[in-house]
Amino acid sequence: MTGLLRLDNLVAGYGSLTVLKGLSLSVAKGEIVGLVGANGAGKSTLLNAISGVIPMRSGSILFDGENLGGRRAAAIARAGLRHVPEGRRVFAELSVEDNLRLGAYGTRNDGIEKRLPEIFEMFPRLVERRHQAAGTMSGGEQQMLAIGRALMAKPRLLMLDEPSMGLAPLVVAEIFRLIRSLRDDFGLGILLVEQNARAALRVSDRACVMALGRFELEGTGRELLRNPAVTQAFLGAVPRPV
Amino acid sequence: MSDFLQILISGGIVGCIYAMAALGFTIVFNATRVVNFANGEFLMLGSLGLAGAIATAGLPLWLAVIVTILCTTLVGVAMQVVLLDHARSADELTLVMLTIGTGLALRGAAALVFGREVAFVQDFGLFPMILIGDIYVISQGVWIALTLVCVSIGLWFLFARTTFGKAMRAASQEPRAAALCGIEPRRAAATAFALAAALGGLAGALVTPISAAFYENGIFLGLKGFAAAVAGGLGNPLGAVVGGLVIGMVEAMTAGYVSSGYKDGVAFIVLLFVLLLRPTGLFGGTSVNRV
Repeated sequence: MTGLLRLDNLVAGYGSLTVLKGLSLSVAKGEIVGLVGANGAGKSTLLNAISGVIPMRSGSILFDGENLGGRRAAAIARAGLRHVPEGRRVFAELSVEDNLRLGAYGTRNDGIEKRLPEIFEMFPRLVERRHQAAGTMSGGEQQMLAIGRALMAKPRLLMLDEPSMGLAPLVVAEIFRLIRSLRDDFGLGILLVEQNARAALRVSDRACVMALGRFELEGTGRELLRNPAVTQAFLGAVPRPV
Repeated sequence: MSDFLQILISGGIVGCIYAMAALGFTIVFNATRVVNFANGEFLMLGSLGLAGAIATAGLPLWLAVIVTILCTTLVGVAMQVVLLDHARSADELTLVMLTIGTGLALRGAAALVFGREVAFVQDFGLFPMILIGDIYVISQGVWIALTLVCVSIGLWFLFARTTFGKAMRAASQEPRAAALCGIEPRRAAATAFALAAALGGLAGALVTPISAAFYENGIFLGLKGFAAAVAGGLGNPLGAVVGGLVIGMVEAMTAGYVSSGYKDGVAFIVLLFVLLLRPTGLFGGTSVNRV
């Protein structure tokens, strides 16, 4: 499998600190790859390195055969790889509709006009809030908006950083339903970072457990859910006596 | 009564200039969260540039104004691209210090290029002096007031109606998220400096016929513009305009009824009072952001 996104021995960090110590990973079209791990494992840093928010030191990032190394974040976003950052980061003072329109910044206007109703159909709750300032919405609605904003530009790969953080259980379920549907109905490749490891592993086709900048374990979501090391470390389950 | 109105109008005209200086602060602050203390020097350059272009280069007035604005715009963009952009990971206080240093450098450069003499430019003309009863509005005042109106409408349109303007606002609110949407935050910052410098050049050119051009004029124009921007609520364009007008008028009142010696200090007294009564400025609301 060639994969939509391919990382090869990626090394990156902040200043003199090396956070990612040689990571290799691939995400295919229509596949959800989950990344779980404790705080400080480097999950968000990995997404930041892929989307160009921080520069990589060595290794390679191939997206659809194109080398993304050294490109600016804005250029990578326009190439169809979208990163929905941790904490949603909507443009609080702008309206919901303006947030969505800016998601497709730099694309043709008629494309935006055609895409906007599709996004509203996907997120009906945003329709009634269309002209409201984005910062006044609830956390769940802001998360929907952040994902909708990323989808405006019809990306081929979506990277979601902690989409369920701080949300009520019902809203979390809604977000995970949406993530499934993006894979099944739209064929997106998704790289999903989650603290909610159980939910993430359930929805993931494949997953990696990350610790201290390395992948400790890899496997299908199902395998990892059954792995006692994983359950012990992240799912808070008591291991069955042998 | 007519004295009062006359002073109010004269002060309002100067206030229009302060308002344009304040808008320069506002635009740059909104795009980069940096208070650009070199903003007053943009006005000084506009003023000296216009005088130089007419007296030395012998350009006709309209061409001299255009050339002056283009040159100050270039200075503003260079300031962002050559200097501030390289320090963009520094904290805001460092960036502000850089703008103060740039201001000093621009002042010195202006003294070298244009000399330390006071230069004069005649009225722009075209409009007659307006006389209502025994109150008059000088022709240059009409130019200045009309320009402020056009500039305000133009800026409102840019930031409230165009995608590019909204992208600039987005880049200032959430620079990283904006970049992840394909917006180049550095381009937004350079554009903001271009706009502020162009506006400064224009305001400086407009004020020259009523206050003459001098290389040290940027200090007071800048500080009063800053006072106006903060009094209006830093970051709020409407506040910047109102703040500028209020400071211009109060200043003229002080000069007319108290003593012109206190004129230059009064802007800061206004600022003190506004901040005591409303710490966020006249039009500064608390920003709403649920998490």
